[in-house]
Amino acid sequence: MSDTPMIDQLETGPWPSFIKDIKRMAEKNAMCKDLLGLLEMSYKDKKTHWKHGGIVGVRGYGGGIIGRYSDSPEKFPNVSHFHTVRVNQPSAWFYNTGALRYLCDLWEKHGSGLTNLHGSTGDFVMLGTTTDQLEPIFTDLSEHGWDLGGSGSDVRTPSCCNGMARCEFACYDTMNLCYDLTNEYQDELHRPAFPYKFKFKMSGCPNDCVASIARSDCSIIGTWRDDIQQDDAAVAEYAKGGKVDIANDVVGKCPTGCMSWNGSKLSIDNKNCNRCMHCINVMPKALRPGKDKGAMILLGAKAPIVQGALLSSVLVPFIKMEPPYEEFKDLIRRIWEFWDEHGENRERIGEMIVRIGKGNFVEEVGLEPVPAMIKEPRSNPYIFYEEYFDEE
Amino acid sequence: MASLEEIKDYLFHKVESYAGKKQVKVPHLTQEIIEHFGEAECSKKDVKEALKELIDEEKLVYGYYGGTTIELPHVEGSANA
Ligand code: HEM
Ligand code: HEM
Ligand code: SF4
Ligand code: SF4
Repeated sequence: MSDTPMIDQLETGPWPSFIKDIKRMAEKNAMCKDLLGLLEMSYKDKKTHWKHGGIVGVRGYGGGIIGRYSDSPEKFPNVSHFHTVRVNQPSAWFYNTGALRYLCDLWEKHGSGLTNLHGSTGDFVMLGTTTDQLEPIFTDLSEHGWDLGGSGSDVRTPSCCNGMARCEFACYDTMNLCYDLTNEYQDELHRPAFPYKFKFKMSGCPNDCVASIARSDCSIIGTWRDDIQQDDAAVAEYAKGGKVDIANDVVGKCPTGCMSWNGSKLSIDNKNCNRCMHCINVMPKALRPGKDKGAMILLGAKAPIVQGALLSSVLVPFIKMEPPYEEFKDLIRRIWEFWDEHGENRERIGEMIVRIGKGNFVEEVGLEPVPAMIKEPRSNPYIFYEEYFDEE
Repeated sequence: MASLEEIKDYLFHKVESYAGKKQVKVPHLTQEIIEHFGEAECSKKDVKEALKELIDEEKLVYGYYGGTTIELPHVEGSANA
């Protein structure tokens, strides 16, 4: 009989199995062998045998390594330490095969060989190594041009959609901004000094392929402020032969009801378009984002730990996003200063904003209130305008 | 102005005084140190620089306890195999 009858069950479904993967690595890696044993024991005892936290890191860095120790080192000595290493991924996860081979070989040499591509943090995640391997891993990575990502109370590894590299919808160069911010904020990334974590995620358009609105303290989402580019000949092409039911599937699903179709001519009242991308997604050959492109900045998402899930909400409805991004960085500096001063321990920026009130926050970071500052589509702005009128 | 050495010295002893008693974090430490020297004498940037040096000299290390902490170097209890 197998030593691990319970976790073997996890190989029986039609889906890919992480147990299968670990077993394959266990043929040549002792950590993986013990990992299976420890996991089986957890299933049997109905409790975890991992312990959390403590000091692990490489010299000078407060982030990038997540410490894990097991509570059963005598039974499973090869996984008494099982630390995770976060490697800062390239913008939009572009690797060549040489880079992937290098990372995998490094990990087979210094760790369990198990990886997770990619964590929701964005990082290339290497699972399972011991404390004494950390400095050699870091040295090797550095020599090959790689760096660790974030963890703890720091700027987390920024991540972005593949934007202009592959996508015609991109309204700014997400990959360049991601690379730029990663370099700009090296200190904030590696030397944690915030009340809690801070994540940047960048999407080139409101389709938001990296789900920045749900997963980042600061979401930077591409948009435009002029009119949707419309090619009437291409619209007619879609309409021909009923390829697309424009009345129902395009006009009928426009969330703001700002489109109309008379059977031959599509009209868009662009002032009332909220840039949801729906019509453009359905008819990409006929409709495209406008020409005056930039991004909107949203603040405050977090997944639930202390309170319920928060989505980020609009702080700046439109900003040009071109190197060196001075206006944006200036805003971030003011935001961090305020958060640093007023954020409570373990309070994400979104939670702080809820606590002190968005109107107050907007004023404190020196922005003008605008009607686009709403929590979600079709709700009222959270600004009370009376006091601003009174001041005039 | 407080010198970098003075700030480092005070910062180190603050962390030492918390050892084994409290998991201390950077924003809290920064506040305490500025309070001690006074805002005219010591800025946030000065504390940042002092901490950076102490970490690079390995006199202090980063830890984790529901967010990043600052600690004296020690062998992790959990690490004893
Ligand atoms: C029921 C138990 C657990 C639950 C529900 C859970 C849940 C999660 C979730 C939702 C994430 C974020 C996922 C991501 O970033 O991709 C995460 C990340 C992580 N977990 Fe767990 N976890 C559990 C147990 C464990 C255990 C036992 C370990 C270690 C042995 C562990 C180590 C980690 C690490 C290192 C990360 C960060 C990975 C990364 O950077 O992507 N977790 N966990
Ligand atoms: C004491 C009486 C009433 C109270 C306390 C009341 C309260 C409210 C509240 C709190 C909302 C939500 C506002 C928001 O979306 O932020 C609302 C929406 C609405 N109410 Fe009333 N209401 C009252 C009477 C009426 C009457 C008499 C009518 C119609 C004749 C009416 C029609 C509506 C409509 C159509 C909406 C939706 C507005 C929208 O689309 O946002 N209400 N009401
Ligand atoms: S978010 Fe927009 S620009 Fe980025 S990949 Fe998705 S559709 Fe393309
Ligand atoms: S982008 Fe969305 S809101 Fe704008 S016209 Fe198209 S469907 Fe309507």
